[in-house]
Amino acid sequence: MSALCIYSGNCFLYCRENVKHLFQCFCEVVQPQPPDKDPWIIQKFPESYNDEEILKSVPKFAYPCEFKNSCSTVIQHFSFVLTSIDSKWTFGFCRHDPKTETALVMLSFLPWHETFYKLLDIIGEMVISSKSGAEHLWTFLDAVYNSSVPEQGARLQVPYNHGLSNFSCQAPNQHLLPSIPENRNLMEYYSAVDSNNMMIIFASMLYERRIVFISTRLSRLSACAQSANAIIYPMHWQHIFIPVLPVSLIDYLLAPMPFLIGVPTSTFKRVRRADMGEVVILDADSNTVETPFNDLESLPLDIVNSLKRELRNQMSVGDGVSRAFLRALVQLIGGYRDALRLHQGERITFNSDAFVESRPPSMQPFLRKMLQLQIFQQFIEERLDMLNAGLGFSDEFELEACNYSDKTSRKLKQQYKEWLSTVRKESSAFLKSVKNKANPAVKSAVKSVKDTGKDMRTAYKGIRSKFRELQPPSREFSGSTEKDVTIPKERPNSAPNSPPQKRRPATLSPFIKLSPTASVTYRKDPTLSGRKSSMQEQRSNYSTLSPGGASCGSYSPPECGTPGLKLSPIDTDLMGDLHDVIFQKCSSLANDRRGDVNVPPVDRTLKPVRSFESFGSRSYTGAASSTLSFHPQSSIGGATCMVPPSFARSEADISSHYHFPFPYQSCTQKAEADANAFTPSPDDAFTSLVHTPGRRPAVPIFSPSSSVPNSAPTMPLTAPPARPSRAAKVPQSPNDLIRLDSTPSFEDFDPLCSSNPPSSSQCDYGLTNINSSNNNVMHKLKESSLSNPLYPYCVPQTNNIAQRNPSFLYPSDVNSPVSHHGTSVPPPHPSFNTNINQHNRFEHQDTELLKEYGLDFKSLSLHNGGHTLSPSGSAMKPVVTDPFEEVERMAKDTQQHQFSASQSMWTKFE
Amino acid sequence: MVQEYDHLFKLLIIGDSGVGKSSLLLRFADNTFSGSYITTIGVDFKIRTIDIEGEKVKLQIWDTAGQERFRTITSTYYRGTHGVIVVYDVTNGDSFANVKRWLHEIEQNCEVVNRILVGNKNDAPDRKVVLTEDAQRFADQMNIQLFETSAKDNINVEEMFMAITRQVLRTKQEHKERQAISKDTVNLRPRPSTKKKKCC
Repeated sequence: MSALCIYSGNCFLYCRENVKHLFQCFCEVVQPQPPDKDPWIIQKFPESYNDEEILKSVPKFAYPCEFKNSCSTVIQHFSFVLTSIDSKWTFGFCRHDPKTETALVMLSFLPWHETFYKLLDIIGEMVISSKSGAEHLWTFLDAVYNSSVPEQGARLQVPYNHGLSNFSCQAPNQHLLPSIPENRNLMEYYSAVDSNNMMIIFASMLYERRIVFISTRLSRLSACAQSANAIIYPMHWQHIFIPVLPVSLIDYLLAPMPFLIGVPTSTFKRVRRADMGEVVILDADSNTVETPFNDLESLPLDIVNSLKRELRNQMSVGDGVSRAFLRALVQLIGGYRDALRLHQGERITFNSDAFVESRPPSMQPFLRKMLQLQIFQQFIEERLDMLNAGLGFSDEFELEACNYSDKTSRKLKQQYKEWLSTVRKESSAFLKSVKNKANPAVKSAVKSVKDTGKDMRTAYKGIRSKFRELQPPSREFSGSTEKDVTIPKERPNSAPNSPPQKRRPATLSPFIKLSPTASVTYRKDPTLSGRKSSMQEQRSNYSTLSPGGASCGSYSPPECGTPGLKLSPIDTDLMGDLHDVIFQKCSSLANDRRGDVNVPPVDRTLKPVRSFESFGSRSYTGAASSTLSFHPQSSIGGATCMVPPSFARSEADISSHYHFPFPYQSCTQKAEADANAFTPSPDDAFTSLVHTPGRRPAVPIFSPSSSVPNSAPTMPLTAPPARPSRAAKVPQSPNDLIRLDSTPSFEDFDPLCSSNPPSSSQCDYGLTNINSSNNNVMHKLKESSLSNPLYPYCVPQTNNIAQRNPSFLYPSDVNSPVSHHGTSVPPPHPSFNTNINQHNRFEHQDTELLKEYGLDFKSLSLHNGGHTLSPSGSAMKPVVTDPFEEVERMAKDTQQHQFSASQSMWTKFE
Repeated sequence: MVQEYDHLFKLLIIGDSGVGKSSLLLRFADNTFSGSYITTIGVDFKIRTIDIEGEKVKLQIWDTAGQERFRTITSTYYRGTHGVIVVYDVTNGDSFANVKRWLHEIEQNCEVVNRILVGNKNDAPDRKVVLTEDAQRFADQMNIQLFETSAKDNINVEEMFMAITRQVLRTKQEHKERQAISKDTVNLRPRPSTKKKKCC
């Protein structure tokens, strides 16, 4: 794991850098022999492991209390946690087989319960099966030990039993919320403890009480403790954490500091309660909580109520339980962003008074207490560190927070942008000039477009219906289905209180003025329709699994719209219609003009640029394309074309830029998909092919941007903060090679997740996708790329999706000679026809997506109209056949400028 | 069961790792047989029973791992304790800076917890970087006692522990008297709860 993982919320405590081995040590521990022989380690692997302190402790933890085999006839798994002097956790995974007199223990830095339980089962069989098993066992352990730790979502396979069997595990996605039934710990916790008691424990943890879990079953004990900690994500228990307490350490229950300790019932009976003072006791066997406090009652009432409601409505499958608690936390502390103070040249700070005062009065008393919580302080510290480092963070929490309040995110984004932009003044001047030039032409173009647009409605509707038909989730490509299933449903749902459909008002750069007419008209519909369809699909597909599915309806659109524009719910999508028309026109044109040299180049260049500039757009584009393109064969790799020769240039800048402005987490999905594609799924040759082309599209944008320094700050603002809808959408595209249904994996996005698989890893940070596309530059990007600090879920999706989309498989672009994964794709001969088609599609999809997110770049372009100025002038000079295209192009250019500017900012910042 | 002590005080020892907290504890503790668990469960404690002013006081002194990762140590951390021993290393300026920040934090949060400032490793004058005057000035400003100790040479360790114990005892007695006046009930562990109400 890389150093980045320090920042990952999920693994702050236990995550270590550079975990080299899947496990640190395997021990076989002989059970204590009455009356007084302590348990002892009979063998270990590797022999060289010699941490005396730990080895001394392992037997005690493996047999933490009198162990009556009689009481359990089933194999029992449990885990314990060792905390080192620097507060890092080591997990011990135990397997007790009643048929044997030993316990098998795996020590690891990785909290991968499911993986290690599975591994222990295999080892257990080997131990029992035969005498020759010993050799096999050692060989197997050696193979596992020496195989590299798989990156998130990647698979590890180790053959055993003479190659007849395979141990296979998938590295858990640490940034997915724990879901049922995949997460054994949560499953156990959820089945043992009712939701009200879960809430009490939740509240007690928020108050940092001294908390004891008791149970006669060690597996339940450790599972409950682990889950209780997981449920306060994005915060993390900062205090003593001993999921299973050996009887010899019973005195540690007297600790005066906050703790969470799991105690076997037999041990607990020996404690003098009076010495313990005020503790919260959860008996996981009887599902009872004993507490001297009124912690749950003293949480803000509305939060408790909505939490209750969500838990009650929860189906027992999926990550609904985790998400319900996450939402409660978002309501409590999501507003921390309101209290961030950014001053030029100074570190970002957190103003606690502002934090409290920005929230409703009913919440303020609790929030004041919250300030006194170590877990909250550490949470803030973590976030500040990330922001100040220019690192983005993207995780479920930020996503939910975005859903909950767009206003905040908008403001923060802007501020952060400004903060980052100390250096780039030149760029803004440039932007201004661009804007001035652009206007008149754009306006006229828009008008004409508008006029034509109405006719297109019917066409659009037809598309929509098609859309729905296509919905069936494309599972074929997903290697790992489980996670996919659980996640997607969640996305679409917004926090209960999230504002309906507010668009961010003034976010755009000061320079850009929006023309109300144009923007309004175009914006609405596509989004709504798209979302609708996606949601429907989603629901139908996942209904059973997703507890949160019910909430889909209430799901609020991504907060940030184009500046100054309000979304009025309009059912017609003018833009979409236009696109269609244009598309048809173009295609016919293309047919006529096949081989025409001039046209094709234009389209390609534009394409890539467009997607990029529009900010979130690049990912959107991809997504859109996937959704809309019904004829994969016809659509040609507009995406592929994208690779700009100059792209290699400021990768770092680009990457940074990306992260920042894009609030959307949607990228995650893409990232995940990408990861999957890249993951060593050998069977999936198709996927890999797809990927390659897809990544390119974004690239071209960069080159222009790099050359032209613009006002970067504007960009971030435009991007809508939260876009839950994304998840819903993705699943729609039937054509996608990549499984769209897969949940957006935040992990992918999360900067924290250190693991960057060479090819796919990039996706995590919005730029990743781009990077993956072949350029050497890409690699650089990877390294430099950071995730969007404020709004992690972003853009990148477009690219990914595009990649996945079969249509993009065929790189039509001359410019895009890209070798993917070592494979070089010969630049296909540009056929005008194909290009145009694709281009149109692209645009259409793009627009829809953008609109959905409140980004109407077309409208922007109208006003700004920075068309001609684009640095990549030659490429940019397209032959404009349609007014609409022209507008679009302008918009792209503007965006590019902005983009580049932002890039420049970033560079400096870094 | 016979109560073998009149008071049970739980103290907390905080400070960066490496400032010698464990050594101080070892110096002070009754016995060292129990070994140390700070490297395996992140927490350790030592016990000693002492006589002060005719009262038998059992002291539990608790140490936890990794405190230096906290920029601030919040009040919940001290909630259940009677007193805090704040340790820095006189040869390490950073450790003193951390300690100052923590003490300021405690002050701001109106914690009424007993505390004492300890500069450990005061046995190598040539390596000393935190001057006594600076530390003393700070201690005065914070209105707390300062001890410069050396666990290695066993200098001032005993005195330091006795001082904090006395302080805690006095606080408890005052509190008891106050409570006795206002109410008849005497809570064995009054501080935490009352504190909580008062402050937060």
